[in-house]
Amino acid sequence: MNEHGEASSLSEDSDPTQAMTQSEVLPSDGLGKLAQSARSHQLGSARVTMYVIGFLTIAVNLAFAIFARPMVDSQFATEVKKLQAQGMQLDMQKIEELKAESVLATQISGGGFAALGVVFIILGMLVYRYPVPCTVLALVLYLAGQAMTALADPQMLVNGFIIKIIIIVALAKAIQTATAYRRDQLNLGT
Amino acid sequence: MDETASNDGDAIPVFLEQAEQSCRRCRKHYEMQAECCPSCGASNPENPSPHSSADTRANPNDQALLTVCLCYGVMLGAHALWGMVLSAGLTMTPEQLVRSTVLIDSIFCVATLIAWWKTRAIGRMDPLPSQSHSYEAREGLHAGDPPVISEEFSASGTWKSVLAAWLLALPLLALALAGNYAYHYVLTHFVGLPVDDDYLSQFGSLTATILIVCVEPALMEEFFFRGVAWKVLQPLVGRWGTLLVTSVMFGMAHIGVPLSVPALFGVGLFLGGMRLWSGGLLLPMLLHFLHNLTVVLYQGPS
Repeated sequence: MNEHGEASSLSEDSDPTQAMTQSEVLPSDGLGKLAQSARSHQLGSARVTMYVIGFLTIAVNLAFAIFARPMVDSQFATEVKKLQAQGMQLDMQKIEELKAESVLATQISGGGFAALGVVFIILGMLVYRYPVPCTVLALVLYLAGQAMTALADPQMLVNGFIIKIIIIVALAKAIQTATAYRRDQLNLGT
Repeated sequence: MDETASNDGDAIPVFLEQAEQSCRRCRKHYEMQAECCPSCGASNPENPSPHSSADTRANPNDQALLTVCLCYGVMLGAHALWGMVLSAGLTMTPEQLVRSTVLIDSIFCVATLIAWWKTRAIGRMDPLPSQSHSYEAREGLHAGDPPVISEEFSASGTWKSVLAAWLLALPLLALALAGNYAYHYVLTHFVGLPVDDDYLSQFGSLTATILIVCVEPALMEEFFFRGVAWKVLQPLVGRWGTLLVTSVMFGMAHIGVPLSVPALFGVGLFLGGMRLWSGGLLLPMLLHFLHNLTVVLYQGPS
């Protein structure tokens, strides 16, 4: 018996969530399980969102990395032609060095963002196990990734702006769902 | 309540039994009229709240988390805007650069203070580190107040861990700086990407550089990432989850130097670890200042 006169078969260090016996399951837990099932479905939508973001990010940035050289070559050719038309003398050796650096930078940034896409997929896989950290990290990484892209090329921020807003809202709602899901898990002792 | 308790000579009187009940999660006693347990927030099945845990809009922890995310978004947006302005080809004098940097940093400071103000109801800064979490009622808490999760104050070993954190801070900082330098060395000499961080020639004077690059980040970035965001995230994702998430946020916040993000993630882990170990913000702030000061002085003027 503990100090309040209640029969206690638990040690002080045991997990209180495991203390609920069959007789202690209350009718409201049925509603709780229903709510948890609904949230589980919503978390599934969050998982799909993360998978879509992940696969799209990988595909687009791998393409950038693979086709970096032709893209950089064509852009440099356009700029060189423009400058030569204005009568400027250009140091072709320096231009080749800059071109090589640009190709390397494009490949590394493409690879880096592709790795970010892999992270999104991993977060989607782990969302049921660690709902809150995964959804928070997904939103953080998405916002930061968009900010970096905007820094490199402001035009990219405008492209697909509405879709980006929809994704951000979806990830924010996923965080709310995840926190409620986790809270319901604790309340139901699962 | 257990029926056998009424047969026991030590059982509580019947009128007290009806006034209180035992929480099914943390086993602490609270009034039957309460909508939820004041210690851990578990709903009271005898008196369900119209704003149960299913209603996320009423939950202060969720609102605090979204406030932190919003503040982080504002910070990213301000830095991205500033970067776009700089890369648009505008030539600035050092004085103009200092003024524009101060403006951007002020936006971040204001956003941080707003986030702190709106999240101040969420518990308090956790005390010295301990071995485990426990749900404890805050003094003066009434039924229906937002739940508070505070770390158990472990009597044994807490002052030892704080002392160890302070004693080992400088050697660990040296390791972190070595790791940072090694990463950039590999990036520059093996991968072949130049990393240009010439602060002194950008801002024109050592004083301005130290204030902008060393003092302000040490105060405001630590206050946001290891203070406000840490306090909001810890009840939701635990200590180690908070360390990981805040380190990712810290690294990704440096969008002006994207190639340095992995190294800065490592620095974030180091500063977050010291925050965890020392239990407060003073040590991470000092270490952040020393780290940035070392980088600035090592770079030197061009």
